[in-house]
Amino acid sequence: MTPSVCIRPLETIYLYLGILILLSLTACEQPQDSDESAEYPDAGCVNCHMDKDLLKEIADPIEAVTSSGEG
Amino acid sequence: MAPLEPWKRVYINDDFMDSIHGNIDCIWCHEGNEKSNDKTTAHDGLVSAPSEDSAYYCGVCHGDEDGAHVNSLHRTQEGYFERFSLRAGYDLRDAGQEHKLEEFQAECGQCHATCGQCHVTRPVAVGTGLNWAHEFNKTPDLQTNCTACHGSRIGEEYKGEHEGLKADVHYIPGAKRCEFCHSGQEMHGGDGTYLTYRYDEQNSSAPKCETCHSSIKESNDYHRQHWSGDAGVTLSCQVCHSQAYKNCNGCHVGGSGITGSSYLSFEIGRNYLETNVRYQDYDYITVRHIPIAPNTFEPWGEDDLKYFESSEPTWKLTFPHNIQRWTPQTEVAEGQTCGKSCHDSSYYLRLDDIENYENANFNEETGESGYGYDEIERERTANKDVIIPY
Repeated sequence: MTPSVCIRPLETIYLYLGILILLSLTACEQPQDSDESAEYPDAGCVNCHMDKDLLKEIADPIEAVTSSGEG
Repeated sequence: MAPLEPWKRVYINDDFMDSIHGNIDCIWCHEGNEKSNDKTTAHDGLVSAPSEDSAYYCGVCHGDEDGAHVNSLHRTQEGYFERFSLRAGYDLRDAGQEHKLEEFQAECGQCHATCGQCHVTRPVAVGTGLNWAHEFNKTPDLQTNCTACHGSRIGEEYKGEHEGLKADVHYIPGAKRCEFCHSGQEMHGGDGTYLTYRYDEQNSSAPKCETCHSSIKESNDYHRQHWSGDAGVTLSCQVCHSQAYKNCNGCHVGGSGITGSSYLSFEIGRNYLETNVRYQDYDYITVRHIPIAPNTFEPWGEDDLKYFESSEPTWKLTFPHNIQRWTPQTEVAEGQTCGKSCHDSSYYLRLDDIENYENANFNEETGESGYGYDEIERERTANKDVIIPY
């Protein structure tokens, strides 16, 4: 009697899909090398210094200027 | 010039970020703590003006420019130190003069220019701040850089802002023109020679009219007589081609001896720079009044400049930036000779002019004339080599 081999194509596909989804989810949980503002070298500085509205709120006031040079 | 709004002084834009300097980490030049989201701690150790230490921050990439700039007058302000030293008999940087040096740094030191004050920000003297949202400009801007400091004399004269006077013929509104005559090499300290002041004979990169205009040296009788010297007298170009210019009678420093207002005049004097190889060829030059009196530095603790009358004149060589072909000296009514205008002796700096002008030193606060007889005599003596005798 020849042993019968049972092939279930649909279940195999589901299995592979499941593995792929698991791998994707795992990859998404890995720490990223860069955040959304990492296109600039120092995100911490430019985040403030490129934000006009923020700067208008927090920029230091100007000290009095006496005159131009040469009098 | 109105100062920049506070936010504009520190605002950077995409154009800067896309530029070469924008691709360098901020902390490379400015230190600080980029990890912090708190303004105070983020600015811990901040270096707001890196080019104050240009050898460390700028010279890494711009070694050639920085190497010469170390000796440029914009950086060293040696002209101030040298002139003070000649008049006082000691140097502000001498041991024991620390207080005066502090006063100097607080008042005159603001005119010291770093790389950044020409190429990135406005000068400190006008409130500083990023000039082009942190973009670097190879050629400084006439309005917000050059004439921000060199404003009340050069800027106003060059742009024709005095009533009744024309702008300099070399001025083209909206165009960058300072660099037309003043090269980057000159601004960066020339060949690196340590210069003592702007008319130092070794200042070989300083501009001269003759460099561009030598082809017209023999173009007319007037040039032949007073440029080539056929008449036995050589004049600086400005003697014929400058208009009236501002003379100063007051100084930021204060003192009680010279507190008057500035005034427009045109004065021809004898060339006192007889041994200066760059300028000794001129017999007569245009001279401008320098706002200094024996007690100018009284607030600093220097009551009387010991060598006031024996060191430097107070009417000094000037090259006004208001050149025109036709000026009151060169223009005459039809049928008249040039002698009617250019030989008008009212232009000559005379002994009496010293008294007349210094009497203008009226002190508005005290209601007294700033100058007494002794001071006028001392100023006459100081200008003995400049005054044209009757």
